[in-house]
Amino acid sequence: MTGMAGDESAAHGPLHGIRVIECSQIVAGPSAGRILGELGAEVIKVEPFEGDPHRAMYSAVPTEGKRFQSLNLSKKSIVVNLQTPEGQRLLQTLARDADVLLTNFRFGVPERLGFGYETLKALNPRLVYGRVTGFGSKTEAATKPAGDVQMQSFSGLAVNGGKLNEDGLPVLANNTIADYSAGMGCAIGIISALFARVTTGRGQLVDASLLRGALVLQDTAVMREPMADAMFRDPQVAAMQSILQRGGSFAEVLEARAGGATRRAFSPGMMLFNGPRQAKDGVVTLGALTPANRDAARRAMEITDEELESIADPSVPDYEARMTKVRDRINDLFRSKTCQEWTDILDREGCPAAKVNVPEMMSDEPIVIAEGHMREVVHAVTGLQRVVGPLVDLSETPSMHRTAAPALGQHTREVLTTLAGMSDADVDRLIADGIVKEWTPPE
Amino acid sequence: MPEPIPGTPEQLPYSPLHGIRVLELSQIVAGPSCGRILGELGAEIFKIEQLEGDPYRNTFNTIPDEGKHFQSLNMSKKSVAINLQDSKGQALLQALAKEADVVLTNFRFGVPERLGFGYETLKAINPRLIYARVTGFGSKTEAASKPAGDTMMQAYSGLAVNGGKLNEDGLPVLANGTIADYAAGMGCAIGILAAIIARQTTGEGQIVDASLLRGALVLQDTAVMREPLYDSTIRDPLVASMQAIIDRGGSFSEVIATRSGTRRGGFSPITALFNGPRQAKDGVVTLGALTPANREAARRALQITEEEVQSVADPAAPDHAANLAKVKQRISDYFRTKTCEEWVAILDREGCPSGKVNIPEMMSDDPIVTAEGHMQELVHGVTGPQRVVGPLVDLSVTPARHQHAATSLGEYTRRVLTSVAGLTDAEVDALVAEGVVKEYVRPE
Repeated sequence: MTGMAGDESAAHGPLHGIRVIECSQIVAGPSAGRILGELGAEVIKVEPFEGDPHRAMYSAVPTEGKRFQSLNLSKKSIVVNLQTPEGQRLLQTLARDADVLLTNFRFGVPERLGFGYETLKALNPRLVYGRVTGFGSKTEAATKPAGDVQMQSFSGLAVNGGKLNEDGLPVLANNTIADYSAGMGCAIGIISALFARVTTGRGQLVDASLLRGALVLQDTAVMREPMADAMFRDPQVAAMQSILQRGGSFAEVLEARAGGATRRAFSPGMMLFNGPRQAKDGVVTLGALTPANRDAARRAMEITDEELESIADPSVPDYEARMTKVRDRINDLFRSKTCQEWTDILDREGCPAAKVNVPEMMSDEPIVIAEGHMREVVHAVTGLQRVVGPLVDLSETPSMHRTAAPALGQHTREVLTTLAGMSDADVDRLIADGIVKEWTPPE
Repeated sequence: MPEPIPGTPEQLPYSPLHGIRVLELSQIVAGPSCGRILGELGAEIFKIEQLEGDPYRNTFNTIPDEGKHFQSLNMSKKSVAINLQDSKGQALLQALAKEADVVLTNFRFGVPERLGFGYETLKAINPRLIYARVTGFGSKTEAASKPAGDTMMQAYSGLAVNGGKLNEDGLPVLANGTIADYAAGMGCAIGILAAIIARQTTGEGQIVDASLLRGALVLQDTAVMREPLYDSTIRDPLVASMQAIIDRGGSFSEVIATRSGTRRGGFSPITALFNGPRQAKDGVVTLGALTPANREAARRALQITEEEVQSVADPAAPDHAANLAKVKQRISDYFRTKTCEEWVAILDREGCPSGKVNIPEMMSDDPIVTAEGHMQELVHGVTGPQRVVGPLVDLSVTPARHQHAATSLGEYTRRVLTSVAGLTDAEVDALVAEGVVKEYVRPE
């Protein structure tokens, strides 16, 4: 199924009839807006004159950066100068008839620009106000500058990822997972609040934060459960703290984190059945979760009982040598077949395994295509494109990307004339006064 | 709307999903993480477990059946242990499904049908039922029945390469803990919520389909997307280089170096001065200068001179590498003279985003985490008091919160079967004796 722009015959999405005003930029807020849009809501993105800063990044065409295009599918762009009283009034007019306002502007900024929750709630008590902050919204930490970079460091995600650069220092996962987690959380809260509104008759404030989203992704590591912790976490933390206090390196910290406690919890056999192996023409990663999976992996890699027994006891003096011997034997076998051959064998035996792929090539993967994970849309400036499908599919009220990302100000006139009661002449005047801006298609 | 079962902690009034009942037949991470979200939003969650329990109960556990991972993922749920290999057990499940709003499963594609709770069966019993499933690759083709889990999906989907982390053998490993599972679980929760809203209008249920693969692709949306204009200048040459390395049998560390070497979007070498981790006196601080204003702020904070900036401005200059090394060394020496707290304060004041690199296991004691209410205290029936990460999102009028800690295996079997499936105590006793259901017996 393709989500071509203007496909009126498609069944309505679950959020059909819901109107969202999005005042957000970069990743976290826009990713939530995209989810609401793919579920059928009308999403009107209010941008400053320069546009969402993300338009200028990863761009071959100015203001149509690829990352912006990916994050802002299904939205209508209007450009309003919120530094002017008239611009602020326009936004308030739009909010009066909206169901949702979504923002990730820095805490305190919406209030200065006339669209804080208290102001909008007075105009529209049914409004669901969704915001994404950095550290949270309840204390002075709310105003600390925060982006995904800091948050991955601050929240433990960088250590959890365990990647070090050439200087032995922890670096981030390449994709902005704290932003995405917060964005999904915000979408979950907004949709829940819309449902609650059926009973309560009113809106409310929905608070998501990068920090909360990041902590949820590491819930078990962050959680404190005294009985398990006495055995695993507490000795591990004591070891890490003593390294830090004596000025030891982060490589040592990560080693202490992964080493002792975790290794005690894994049997030696488990390490054989998980992780990447070099095949003839690429790398295959095994992921054996259950005893049945591990048995399947054992059969597939022809691991003998003798081999398993030889590494069963980590306390023997020549343990390292024994483990190396078994691993080398498996590695040699692994190199003798292709990735396809290995995944066929492991699928057949029943152990989850897959070839290691490169993200930029996923759009051509047969399974990705057959399973409908890519959709086609047409962008007003850059043309036909293929994008990742909606986060979730529904069978009766389908999700879909209704349109590609908008050009800057592509819908200013349309929105102001149909939703804010203006005439074309009114819009012309606002443009002349520098209050709003509209996009002009190239000849 | 159904009343809460007698004897359970009182459900908060007006939690957003108050009155919604979910049957969760799922295990490990993806399905349970979705169920937890629904629970923290106030839904009543019956976790139907096989008699041995969710395997995650016995991962990283100090006592049988109460593993920490399981406890973290299964708050707010009531455990009912039913043998679904037995036709009587299947009949019980169907009776419960008749009284439910949502069935949530991540059992392997095809397994629910074999155990009597496939969508077609349940839809006939309850047309209003929302049937949510998390699969591996998807549910539409034969790929649906391939064995799948987070580890291999991170590899398959590109997340491992995206993360760019290599083990000691130079092979790519996981980007981060179970993020494909979490993305799929959150996606499934979003779909369920949306379907609940849609049901107001349509009066009917439907299937909600989430998959690890879709979730993983969404997390890398830009890298996976194909946009011909941008791609012709950046992506396509990059892919050609990576493909050439793979074709000639080059290593993954070459692939990853090529991939991150190409600065997609035009990061200049100067940007490298203002971004990334730096060793301070007592830990590491990571700088993240996104805008020109941020970079100016970082320059001031690190006391980088105009001359230094000029000396590395042109990557084509012959002494560029030597100059860059010299500037980096000077900054790095200076950075070591102050503590993390001092650096973050300086960078905050100047206006450059930065963060101390923290360790997840210590986050529960962090002052900001505590003050902002990111942790919630619960009491587990067996292991006692615990602190958990709070709900994914907060709501001001209809609040979200974890209703209670994870429950022990079969702790609610009797209560649920008597109050929802209409059985008597004697009937439950008989089913226990026959091995059709199991109930938890609290030790003296």
